[in-house]
Amino acid sequence: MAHSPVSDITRLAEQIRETSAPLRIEGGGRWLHAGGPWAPAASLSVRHLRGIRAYTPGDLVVTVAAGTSLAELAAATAEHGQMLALDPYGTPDDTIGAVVATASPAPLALGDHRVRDLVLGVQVVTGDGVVMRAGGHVVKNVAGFDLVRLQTGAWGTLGVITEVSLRLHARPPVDQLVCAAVPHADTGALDDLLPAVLAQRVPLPMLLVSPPGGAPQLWARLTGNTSRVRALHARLRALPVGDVRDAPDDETWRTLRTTPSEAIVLRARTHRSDAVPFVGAARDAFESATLSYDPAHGSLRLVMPGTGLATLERDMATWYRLAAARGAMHRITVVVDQGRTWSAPFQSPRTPLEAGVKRAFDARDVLNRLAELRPSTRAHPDA
Amino acid sequence: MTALRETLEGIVGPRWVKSRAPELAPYDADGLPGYRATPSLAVLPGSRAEVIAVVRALADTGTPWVPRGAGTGLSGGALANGVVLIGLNRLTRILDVDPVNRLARVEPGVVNASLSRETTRYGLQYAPDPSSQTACTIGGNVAENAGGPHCLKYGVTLNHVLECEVVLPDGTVTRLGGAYAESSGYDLLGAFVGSEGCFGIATEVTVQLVPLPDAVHTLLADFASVTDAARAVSRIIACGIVPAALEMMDNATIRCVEASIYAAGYPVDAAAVLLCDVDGVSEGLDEDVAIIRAACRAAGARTVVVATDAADRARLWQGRKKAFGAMGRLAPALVVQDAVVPRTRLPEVLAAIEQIGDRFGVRVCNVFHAGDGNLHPNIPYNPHDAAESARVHEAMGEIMKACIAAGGTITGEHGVGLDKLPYMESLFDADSLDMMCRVRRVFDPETRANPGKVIPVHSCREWHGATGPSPRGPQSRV
Repeated sequence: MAHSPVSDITRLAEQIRETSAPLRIEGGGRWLHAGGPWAPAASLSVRHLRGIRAYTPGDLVVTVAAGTSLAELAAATAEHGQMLALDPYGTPDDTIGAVVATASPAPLALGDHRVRDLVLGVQVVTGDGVVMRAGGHVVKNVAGFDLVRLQTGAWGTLGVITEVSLRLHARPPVDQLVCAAVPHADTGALDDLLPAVLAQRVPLPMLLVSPPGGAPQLWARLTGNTSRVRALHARLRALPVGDVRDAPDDETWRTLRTTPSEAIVLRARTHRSDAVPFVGAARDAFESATLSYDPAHGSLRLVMPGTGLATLERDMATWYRLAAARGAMHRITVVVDQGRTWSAPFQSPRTPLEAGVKRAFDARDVLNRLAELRPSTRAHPDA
Repeated sequence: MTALRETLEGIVGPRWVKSRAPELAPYDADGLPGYRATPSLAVLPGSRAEVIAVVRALADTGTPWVPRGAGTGLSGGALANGVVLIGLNRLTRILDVDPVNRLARVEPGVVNASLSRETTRYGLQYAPDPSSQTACTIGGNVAENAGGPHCLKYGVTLNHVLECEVVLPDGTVTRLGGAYAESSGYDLLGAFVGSEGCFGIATEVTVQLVPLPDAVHTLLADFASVTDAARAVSRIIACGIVPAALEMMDNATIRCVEASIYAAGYPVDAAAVLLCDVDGVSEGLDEDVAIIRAACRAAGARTVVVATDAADRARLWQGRKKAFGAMGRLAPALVVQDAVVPRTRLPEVLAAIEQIGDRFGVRVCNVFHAGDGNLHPNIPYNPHDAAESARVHEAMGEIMKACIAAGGTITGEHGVGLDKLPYMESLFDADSLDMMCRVRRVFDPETRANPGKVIPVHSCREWHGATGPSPRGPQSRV
């Protein structure tokens, strides 16, 4: 397939206008097996659109080219004691354009922010090859219809994101990552822990990580001044967990955030009040999965390297059965974030509103065209 | 129109269809004086089913309509000029409060403050707090993506709405977002929130609730110059503390408040005051207060006082929350603007606003969300004085230009409506505006919902040569 690095937006727009064949938009190339399933297409890389376009630290707003990596952004903002409030799943080499396009989930984000909360404006090239802007460079903005939210998490199907304006945060005086082992997980410790975690009334980003065959750990991000962090530490210690320690090292955290490209990744959610049967049944059903439960958003992430479709379908059926048997009252929704054979965030056919939005931005369906799924490979994401 | 009225009466009952001039008078303005428009009919459905039936009846007849909550909006967005107005403030039920999952499901006519009152018993609150929160409705908040002082820390309406049931202009009922579902597909809920009634009507809104903070501290800092106060804002934000609120009032506003029944004890000789809330876990709040006090002092604050108890805090906030009301003493009408500028540009923009006020001979009172850079320059004036009205509107135009030139935007929380329509083309290029038009047509192919608002009609390429329904002429400015 053709690989077309593009460093000039005008040229990029021309390329899109001139093609009638589908284009696969590529940033750092990290998420090519995610989203979709995508139709075969020529690659259109925006990796070479790099660099800080505008940054006034006093405004806590930065505008960057889409191909800029998270590491580059972190370095530029750290010089001024600032940061993007989240570290999405992935690697520091991932591009900011991809983070916005995929609305990548971000564990332990400062203030439990999500990508959606921090994108102020975008420049995109539509499927017609038109360069347009949405939003702006200020932290509050309701001028016109919110096309920024439509582009965020659209997986590049509504336009090639070429530039992004982001809200930054000043680094708090103390920013501490801690973790604690969950003792006796096999004897129902989660039954005590999860309700206590969900009942927390303080702003305390947490993540329950349960690796296959290992003891679960509760991770938390403590931020603020010294007194507040001490108080948050005490609240954590009051939970039914073992010693609360500083996170082992950066490498452990990086490993947790990294997603193997061959892994199947699911995101699942239900009522927070069903957390115990929801998470516990998932632990028992998916033997090879690493589970990460984000209590702030009630979202469970399941990462399964090397799992085949037949195993996955069997484990999901087991999960639903166990969850229901243990008292989960509500529907579980599942989105397949990554997986070579499965349906994912974008279903085909789309709903009428989604189809209309797609036509508005990309009437020819050239940007990240969805593949038609054969019935035998269609997932059944809802239970 | 008689046939339509009878149809609507058949749906909601004759009592809830208003067609005589005296009955329609309450709907000829919203919270922004300066514009007047009278609907042809006002229909006030009392249930979800009636809203849907009304929208379908209007779709069947190709009739344009304008949705309206409490009518507290400040952009002329809820004005219906010769078209049907759908009032939603009879739908006032809080359908469900779920304290375990920290959610509430409400009808669109629920008043903002009443929702927080209802959830306080669970130690929870609905965080967005527009100054009109004792009157404005959740449905209106969703339509405008409303903000408020405490959105600096807690986020605007968009960040708190999880799901909406929406009746689209063609009468189709759909659900956007998901209170308990993983997000997938396009963020249609994100597009709907803030669409100013152009994408449909929310018949049910599910919002998240957040725990009430353990403790709140309120500071008042006063400054000898507006520039010093603006610099203090940047210093505070740079400290790594996100205050719950950070508001500024200039001397004109202070004097106005202090002369009113809302007097809060602000020093009347101050060029500006900053009102700042920090909240959260009790431990550490004193440190935050000390850091903010030092930042204000370093920026030139004359005094920094900390409220001693809840009554003291309420008094300080009363002046801020009721400042717009206090300005009613100065003149019969008040024009309120809502621009946002980068925080670092506040000193120069405030200086420019002062110069513009002087140049046009109008008094500008600034009371605004300084932490967000969200300005509210207000000009009290007499709408019956044509010359003064003209100067006020010219001055407002110049202020908006200055904000756009500083890298800002024309509205942070009030919406474009009718009032800010002329500035949209200064902010967005033709292609970007055209894309907004296209997205609007996805939700409302005939553009019958709130016609003539948000996007200048001539910016929509499909309108050129189109023969479809068009809104009435521009609403009259008085």
